[in-house]
Amino acid sequence: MFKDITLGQYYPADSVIHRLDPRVKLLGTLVYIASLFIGKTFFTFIPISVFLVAVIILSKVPVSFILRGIKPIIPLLIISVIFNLILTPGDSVIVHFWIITINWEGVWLAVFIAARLAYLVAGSSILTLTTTPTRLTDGMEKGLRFLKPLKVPVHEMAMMMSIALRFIPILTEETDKIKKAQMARGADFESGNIMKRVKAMIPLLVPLFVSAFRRANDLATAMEARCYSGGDGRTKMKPLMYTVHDFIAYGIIGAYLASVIVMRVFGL
Amino acid sequence: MELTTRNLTYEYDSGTSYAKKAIDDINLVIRENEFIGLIGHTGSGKSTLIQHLNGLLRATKGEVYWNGKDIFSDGFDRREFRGHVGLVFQYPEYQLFETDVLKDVCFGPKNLGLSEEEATKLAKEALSLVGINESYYKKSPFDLSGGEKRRVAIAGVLAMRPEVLILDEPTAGLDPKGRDEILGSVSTIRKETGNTVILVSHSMDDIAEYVERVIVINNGRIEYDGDKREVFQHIDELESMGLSAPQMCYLMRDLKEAGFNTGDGALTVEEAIEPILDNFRRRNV
Repeated sequence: MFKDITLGQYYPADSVIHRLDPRVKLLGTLVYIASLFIGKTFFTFIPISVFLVAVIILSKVPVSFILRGIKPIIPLLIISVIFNLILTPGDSVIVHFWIITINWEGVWLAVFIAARLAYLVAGSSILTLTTTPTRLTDGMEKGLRFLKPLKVPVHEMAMMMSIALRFIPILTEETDKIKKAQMARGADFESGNIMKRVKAMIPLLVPLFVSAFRRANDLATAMEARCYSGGDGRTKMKPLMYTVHDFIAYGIIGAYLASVIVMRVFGL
Repeated sequence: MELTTRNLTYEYDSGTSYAKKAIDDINLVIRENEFIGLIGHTGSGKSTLIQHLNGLLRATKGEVYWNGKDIFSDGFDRREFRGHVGLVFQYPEYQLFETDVLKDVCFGPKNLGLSEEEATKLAKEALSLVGINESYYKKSPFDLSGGEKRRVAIAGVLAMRPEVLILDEPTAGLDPKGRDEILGSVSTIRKETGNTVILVSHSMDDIAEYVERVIVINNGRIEYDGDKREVFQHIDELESMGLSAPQMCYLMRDLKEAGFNTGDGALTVEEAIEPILDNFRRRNV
């Protein structure tokens, strides 16, 4: 059941997007997310879709992989659709019964928000699918270095981030293993009412937590054994360097952002 | 009882570019009161195979039959079936979760729908089979030593009274003492219950000492399936698969090449003593 979470998983391939500097991809993702919120009309989904589809094609990541990432947020999508449908005030009433009123404004908003959410997850999963956690944190560390004089622990944050990301697949696998082990002992995770199902999670969660703590402990020891003492004076084996491709990508991202803003300004 | 597989094939990530056959066309018949050793190098498909035997994985192609019934046919109760074919995973101690040892072992039987008393009775029997005595019942499973934890975890599966007990590398990561305790327990279990036991192991010496029938799996296919003496004759073939034979096989082979008449088939130190001594006696005379 946890296999579907693609967020935080890396898809190995050799593509232009994979080779881009992580800083470019980070900024690109931020711009992409911002563009989703700048857009107020369905027309803005034209440049957004073009951008997203182009990146997906260039990244060589199979579309099925990205769609799998959307699956876990379907419940969230449904909830947001329901709330938007019945709670949006408006005059063009379609149906009205009891205390529920559905109007065209609600329908429009529900579809719009759902599309936004789906695009958000699909787009941001590309970042982790095409960037190894190491490169990602390298990019974050270097990209946010300007915050260092403000006493922001950039390196430590980047390190925590990379460890957290690294642990997602490990814990996923572990969960799968424990789940199977308990199923071999006759545990039932699929049937029964909600209370029964929540209770059925205990044999899964207790061992999972125990093992997460154990792993965290082992990792801390291993890091200390290698004299890790934070970011000061630490150098990189493969320092990040921009190439021509990265500057072109910056240009494209800039043009994309500009197009979305222009559309907003002109009310499209 | 009879557990059979027919043309069992399982593909990981079926339909993607990662697709890889983990097991390929496996045909096995497992009968009552057998002691089977399953060997194969890491990634050969052992773990995948045993997860099919109790219905945790569903084959891409082929079937598993329990007493002639397809375990994935409609109306087959796989939960109850898992009580008949007990699977102990690698590092089973990581599945312990209850507040005390006895409660943890009761988890399995209770899942099979048994009452509190019945479950407790089975749990106590299982714990005594693995050599965990009453003083441990109220201890937290997290306070035990590695070997003890593992024995409690094995008891957790044993308490369901399985007719086939599958152990996936039960001695991995244990010290010699813990190892002997586990293998001793397995022997006791077999003697007392007469169950079929399938032991997955990387130690050829353990396999040679305990089991009767050996199944060798390589790249997802069964290479050998037969009496251990017969299988361990194929030393060179086993080595080409990244495996080995029991140490005594090598000694006996070297002695034979050096001109001694040591005969064939000695797999353990105990079995090798007589033929070797025999040679010396004859030379001294």
